[in-house]
Amino acid sequence: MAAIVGQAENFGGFSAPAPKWSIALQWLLLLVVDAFGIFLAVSIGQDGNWFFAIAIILTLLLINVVTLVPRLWPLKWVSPALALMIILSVYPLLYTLYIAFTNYSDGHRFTKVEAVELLGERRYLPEGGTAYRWLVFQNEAGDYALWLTDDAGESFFARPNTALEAVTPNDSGSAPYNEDGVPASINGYTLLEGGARFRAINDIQDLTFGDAGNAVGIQSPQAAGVFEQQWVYDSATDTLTDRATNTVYSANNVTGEFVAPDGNTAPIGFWVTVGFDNFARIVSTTLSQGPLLRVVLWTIAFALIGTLSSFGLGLVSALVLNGSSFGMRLLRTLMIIPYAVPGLVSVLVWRGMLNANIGVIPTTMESLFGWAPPFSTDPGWAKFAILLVNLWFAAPYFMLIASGALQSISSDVYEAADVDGASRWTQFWRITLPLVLVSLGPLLIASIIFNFNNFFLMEALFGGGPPMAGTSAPPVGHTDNLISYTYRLAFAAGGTKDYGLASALGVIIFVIVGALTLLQFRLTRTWEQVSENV
Amino acid sequence: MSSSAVQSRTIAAQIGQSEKRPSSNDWLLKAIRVVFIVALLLFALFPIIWVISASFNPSGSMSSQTLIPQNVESIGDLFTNYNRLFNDPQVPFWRWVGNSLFISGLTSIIIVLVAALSAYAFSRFRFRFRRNLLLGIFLVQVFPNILAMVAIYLMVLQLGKYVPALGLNTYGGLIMIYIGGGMALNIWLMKGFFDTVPREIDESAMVDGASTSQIYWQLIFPLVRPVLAVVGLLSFSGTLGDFLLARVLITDRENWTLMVGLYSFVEGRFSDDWGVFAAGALLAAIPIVALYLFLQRYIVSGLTAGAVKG
Amino acid sequence: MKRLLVLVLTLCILSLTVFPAVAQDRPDLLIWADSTRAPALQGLVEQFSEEYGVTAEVQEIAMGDIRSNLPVAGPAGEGPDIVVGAHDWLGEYIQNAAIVPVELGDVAEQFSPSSLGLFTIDGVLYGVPYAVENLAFFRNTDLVPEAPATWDEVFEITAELVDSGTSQFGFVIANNASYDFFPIMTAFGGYVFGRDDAGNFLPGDIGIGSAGTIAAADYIKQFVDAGYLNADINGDAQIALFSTGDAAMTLTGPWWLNRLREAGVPFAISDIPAGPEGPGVPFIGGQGFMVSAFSENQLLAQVFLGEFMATTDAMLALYNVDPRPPAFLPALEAIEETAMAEFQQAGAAGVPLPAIPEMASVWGSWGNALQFVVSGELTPEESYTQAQTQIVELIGAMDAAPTSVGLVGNFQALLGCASDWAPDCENTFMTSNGDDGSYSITTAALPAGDYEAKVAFDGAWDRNFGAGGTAGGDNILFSVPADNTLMVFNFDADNALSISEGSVALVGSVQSALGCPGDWQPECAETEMTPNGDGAFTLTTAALAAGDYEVKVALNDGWAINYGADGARNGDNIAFSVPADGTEVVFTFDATSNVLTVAAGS
Repeated sequence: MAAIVGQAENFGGFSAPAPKWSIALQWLLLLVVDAFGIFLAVSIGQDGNWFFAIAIILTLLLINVVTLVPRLWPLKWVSPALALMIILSVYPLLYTLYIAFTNYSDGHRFTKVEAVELLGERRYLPEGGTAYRWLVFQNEAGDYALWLTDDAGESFFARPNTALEAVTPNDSGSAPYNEDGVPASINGYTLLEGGARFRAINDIQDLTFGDAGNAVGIQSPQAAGVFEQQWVYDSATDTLTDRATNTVYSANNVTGEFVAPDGNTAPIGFWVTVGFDNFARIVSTTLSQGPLLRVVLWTIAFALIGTLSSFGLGLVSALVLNGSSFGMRLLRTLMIIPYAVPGLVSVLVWRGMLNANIGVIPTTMESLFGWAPPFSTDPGWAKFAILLVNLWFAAPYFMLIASGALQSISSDVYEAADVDGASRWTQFWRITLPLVLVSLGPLLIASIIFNFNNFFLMEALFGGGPPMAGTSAPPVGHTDNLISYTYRLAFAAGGTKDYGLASALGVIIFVIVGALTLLQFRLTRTWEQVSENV
Repeated sequence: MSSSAVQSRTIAAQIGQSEKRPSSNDWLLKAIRVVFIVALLLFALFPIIWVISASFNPSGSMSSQTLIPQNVESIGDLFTNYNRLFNDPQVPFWRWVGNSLFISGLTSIIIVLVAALSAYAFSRFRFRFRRNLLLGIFLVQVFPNILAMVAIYLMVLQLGKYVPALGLNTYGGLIMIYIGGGMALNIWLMKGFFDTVPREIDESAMVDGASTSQIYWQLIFPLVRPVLAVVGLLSFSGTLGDFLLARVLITDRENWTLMVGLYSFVEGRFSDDWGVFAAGALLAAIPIVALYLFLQRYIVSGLTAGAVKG
Repeated sequence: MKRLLVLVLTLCILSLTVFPAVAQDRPDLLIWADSTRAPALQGLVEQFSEEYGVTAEVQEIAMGDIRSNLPVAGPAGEGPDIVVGAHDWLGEYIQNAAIVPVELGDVAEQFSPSSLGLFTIDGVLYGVPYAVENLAFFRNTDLVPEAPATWDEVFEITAELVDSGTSQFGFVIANNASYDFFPIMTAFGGYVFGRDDAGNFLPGDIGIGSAGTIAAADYIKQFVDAGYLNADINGDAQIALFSTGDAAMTLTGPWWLNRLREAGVPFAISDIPAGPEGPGVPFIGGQGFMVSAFSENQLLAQVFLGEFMATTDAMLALYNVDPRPPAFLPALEAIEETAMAEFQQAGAAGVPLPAIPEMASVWGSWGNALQFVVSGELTPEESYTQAQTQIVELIGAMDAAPTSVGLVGNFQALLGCASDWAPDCENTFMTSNGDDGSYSITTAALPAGDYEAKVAFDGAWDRNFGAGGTAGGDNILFSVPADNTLMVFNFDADNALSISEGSVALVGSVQSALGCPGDWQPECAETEMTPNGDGAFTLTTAALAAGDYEVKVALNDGWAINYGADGARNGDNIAFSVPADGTEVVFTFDATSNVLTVAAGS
């Protein structure tokens, strides 16, 4: 081992010195990347997404260190992938981890500042205020004015920064008048209609008309008036006041709500960190329930059986269909088709084919044998069907990979085996399989993990069904795996979408699967060493 | 040893080309092999035949579908679905195909290039924390992605504010996410292959005074073409078939990928255009099969030829 | 290395320039619509842009994504100004402050009142409806010439058709289609959420486990038992069977019309048949436009909806791509399609699909329940009781512990409340028994007779519990055998209310002297006090030695309910002295005031 390390280090020593222009270019590139990265991180940080900003800074650091410290030259090769992964995989992971410790969910989707800001945009008409119907005018200079009519039929002409002017329908301004007596033009202002009116709306929505004491703003297509801010936040007392009802809501920074003395809450809550609450909820409710064990068992069973069966079939197919003749090439290509057809299509086709009343498989079996497996209604058969469909999906993938891996096995090995008189059966178990596992071992582990988290197949084929009887909430099906169960628990069944809970469950799954992965690597540690000696 | 001899010496060839080693159960083996291949093909292709039949079936419902299309009054009826794909002004089919090819193509090229670099380093260089780093990148992808959807969506939204080309409704944003998602697994897959390339090749080149980059580009890179082809093909078909991410990140009909476009035919209760969907899906499979046909020579006979030469 | 760097860099730069320009100006109005509506809106919006010179654009986004992404994209400044969606999103949207109220002004009169009702929450209109939809009864007119008027007839016709071999199935319903099951449920008296007088849904009053729902499931069970229905009919199979004539009757909506006509099957649409509790009513759903709260152009969005969309032309354009009965009355009148009127008729008495967030907790369990019945795995009663329990648990999980637990019933006025069935009456609030989550209250003030009771949380009806701990369950019946009997109401952690006659025991340091095995033992029968008929309990003894003692009163042989000094629950011990051995001591407990008086020597 030590010898290999020594050799590897020598690699660097042998590289020719880089030309000057190349070094200059490298520096320039680094500078540009740094400048841009810092700009991005600062801007995004200012938007409040500190996690993303930190991920960007980390990536920048990585790039700089790797470029500037000569000793780290091997990392140069890895850094493009690492940089991409930090931003695209590590950041979402950390973000999710963070969410797991908050109550981020429907009703608590804003920060306190955002919630206060959003509520602050709401306007109300104070008692005694007048709501006018409005029409918009514009003069040649481009200034806007409103013709206001109140419920009592009084009309006013309103210009910005000028006191309201009482006007008379069918009299003020110049004809023609419309059915409400509003003139086509008045004081040099022309009534806007059609497109002109539509185009004016974005300009006038933030304007006020009338003098300071009576600043009329437009509230809705139907109403203008002296509308005022309804919700006022006072940071000194940490309270929110609804001026329309004069109710004071005090902030509860533990639950993320503004609460009035009568127990009512303000229309928007905000999210707060809640420590281990989400995890405690999972432990106290979900984990203590019976179906969880069954779900976990099925999750593991599917991950293992699903992966190994499709790997087995894929490997055997690759062996059987190996060869460069036209026939073999054609057969291999045909075998690839299931993999090439988009997965969604295939699932839908399988779902149709397995249906007991209209599906081709059960109806054919019914007419041939008088009996057909109840694929979508019997738990055992449903699981069988899922494994079957998975086999169909994944075997071509493994065939593809295995046929590549088979090429890397040197023929010398087989020749030596031939000389020793080993049977082909022995050769397969002693040579082919171990060597294929060398290059595909990690991939197999990855596939097991992928299948552990396989949401798509469970959800698309039977929607987790058939349902399991005798369970407490949330409803769970016989073919639900951990991830689809989580999804149902946190998003579909709970009424509100509870991202905090979902993230906490995700973190728990992550920890479980991560531990399993490490365990598998430990068990199969020999792989890499074997390969290094080849 | 000549390369052609090596090529023909694979384990499967031993099973198949029995004339080289005649044995008593030769006939039986052959029969088993034929039966196996027939069964395999039936299993693999039966659902596909169903999709093909659906694509020529003028009635849009999957449930009322029969293997032989019914209600066909003219040859034209058979192509109702294809006609809709190609000629309906609401369905910019070729635009979608173009988008998909561009996105998947660029994604797989970048993944292959970037992942191969890392895989080479992990396979050949020995540096501190190498093992930890390898395990680390593996662990990161263990996280169930479906739960990180919100984080990803937010990230693309925010990035788009400052780098418009990577924002929502851009190819850049989508490609970026695809690349990030596929990196770890592909590094591992490639590293496994790189490990099987004999070190003697590097060493002898090193003695000749070649730089690391030279060794990589001129010696190793051509040798590992099979795995590059496999990874490229996997990335290509993986991204081509995705609609979960693409649907969320690309909002303009014009910019959709083919799968998002096709999905709109079966999404919702009202648009059950199953036949159109099936027709489009079949067409979507063509590039992947074609790519496989093209790459097959690398995959099945690429590596050993050179590997042993050194 | 260098070569690669240059290559990657060039690729990046190249791709950035090749990518379609995103930095295109944001239109004045951005609309999110799903694939069904987007094409029609596209045309309308182009017309609008041309006519008025305001830029508008439609983005086609999957239904589910419109619903879930508005609250995410909106705050980031990337959201739409208007979304097209269903009325039952309102609850979630309002909870997330994602939409603002809309004002239609005079145009409102041209919309059907029921459609506006769907989009109105607490008197505020949050959307501009364009279509309403509901189920109706479909029959194959070759097989079933006359529309059946009752569900019993439906069963008879099914039996006739299937037994005679005329068709494979009679009436079919998909195995977990609770939406389709609802009209049958209502015909048998079932419901999903109870409603208050104003028509608001009460999330605490869930009727999935109610007798009516179970009766409806029993009805479906008949089909299964006779082999007329099986568990593997899903939505796909349902339409396949009906459109090939293999099934004669079903329940479905306007979304099937085109496909059925294409299939050429002769069919007719009629009202939902009646059951023992009257005609079945379907859910009514509404489709409409909502204005994003994150939009910078809310006023423009509102004007666009009120003045451009609320016109016959625009509404008809939508109808043509998405044929559902229009909510805009002039458009409805302009349509010649008779089926629309038939649907409207079938849905005339319909119930709005609840727009409260709690509804999301109902679908899964409710759908499974039907599947259990159809597969025969559970009896209707087991199945729907289980679903009820699951739903209550899910909805309960969303809420915090109750702020108050009130005993309600037709006796409250007798106990000093303003009226009977008053959840906010503090006189009948129950008191926590400690950490086990149970609550109790006692009274000895009721005259003899039969009464009904329930428990309501938070001084309101939203969360109330009846028989068997069922949320929104039936009233609990109890009788008071004689005037002023002490009644104990105990509400346990499983939300079950138990009512019993109370026994009263004297506990304290006197007990061992009175024949008990030890002191402070509420379960000791020797110190049980005797009711004297007017709401008081007494115990008289002369067996105490001189000295100081302490006592309390414990109810029902346990510590859960005990009273001490001044009648306080869990109050201090009451101290008294016996001056000399053998002094007669009289303990009197007033069950109304809960005060224990001790009279030593007279």
